[in-house]
Amino acid sequence: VLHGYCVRHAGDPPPDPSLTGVMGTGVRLVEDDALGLWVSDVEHRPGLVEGHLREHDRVVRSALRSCTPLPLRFGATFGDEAAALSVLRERREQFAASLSELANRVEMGLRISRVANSRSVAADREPGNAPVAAPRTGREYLEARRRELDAAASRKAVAEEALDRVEAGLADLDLPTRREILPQEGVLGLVAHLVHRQEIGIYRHRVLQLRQTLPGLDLVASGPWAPYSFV
Amino acid sequence: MPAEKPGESIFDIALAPDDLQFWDDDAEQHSLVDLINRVLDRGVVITGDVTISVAGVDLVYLGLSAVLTSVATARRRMDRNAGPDRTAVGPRTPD
Repeated sequence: VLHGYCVRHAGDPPPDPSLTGVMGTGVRLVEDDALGLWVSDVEHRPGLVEGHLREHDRVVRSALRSCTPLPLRFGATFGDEAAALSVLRERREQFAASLSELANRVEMGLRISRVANSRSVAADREPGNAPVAAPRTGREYLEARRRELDAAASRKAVAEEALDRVEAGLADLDLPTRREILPQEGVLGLVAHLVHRQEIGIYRHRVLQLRQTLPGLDLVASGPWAPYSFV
Repeated sequence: MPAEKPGESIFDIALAPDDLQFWDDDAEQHSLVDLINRVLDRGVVITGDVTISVAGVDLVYLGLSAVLTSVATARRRMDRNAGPDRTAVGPRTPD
């Protein structure tokens, strides 16, 4: 089968011959007259392990170095080259439009957490933080459940407030933005921005400045990524 | 909009040293949550694609935290069984 990485315009630079993909495979181009697809020939579908995710993204980032690709979600496989070409044909207009829209742009990411040992007033107000004995009656169970729901709502409100502050601090850059609240324990949220390649330096400078103005919040920036969040 | 120049590297700009964790070898080790959020949860979904499954449970649509939990669980199972890679992909449930 073929493991797919990303879609590009036909004629864009092909994968470097030395590039390795998932499970140590080579990466090659499947191309029709309009679009190209970077793939690896694999004996079986790659399992869901961290190493394969990193291998997959390494290939996509390699493509990103020359031109912005449309990254495929990990797990896209094709029975053979004909099946891959068929998908390219069926979605030619959509892919071509997206590639044109995203040309010259990359995704930059911000992961927002609360600084260790820093507690906001809202966090201190969170119900459910105090140890509670196991419920012994139905009424106690329902009360405990209500506290859990209140705590979850409070955590969400705190996270949304934090992400609002981050987005407000960069609002004048007028960047397309995606956000995800509470993606993982200990992370308030993820914000993705679509940034012009030539403005990466400006973006980084602004993130550095912003971080100084948000005490209590830890901002970790990452990128450039292929525009995973904007396809 | 200026034309995109094939072959022009943007990473030289992005990797200038500062205290932000942009991509470099060290940052890769600290960015699993960012990676999973994108590679598993975003990106183009191909029709006729597969949904990643672990132990028969489709994961892609369960959200990031479920995926993280399940990956950890799958790893523990693999460690215990010391057998072949049991994380597998199965047919995608149609949208």
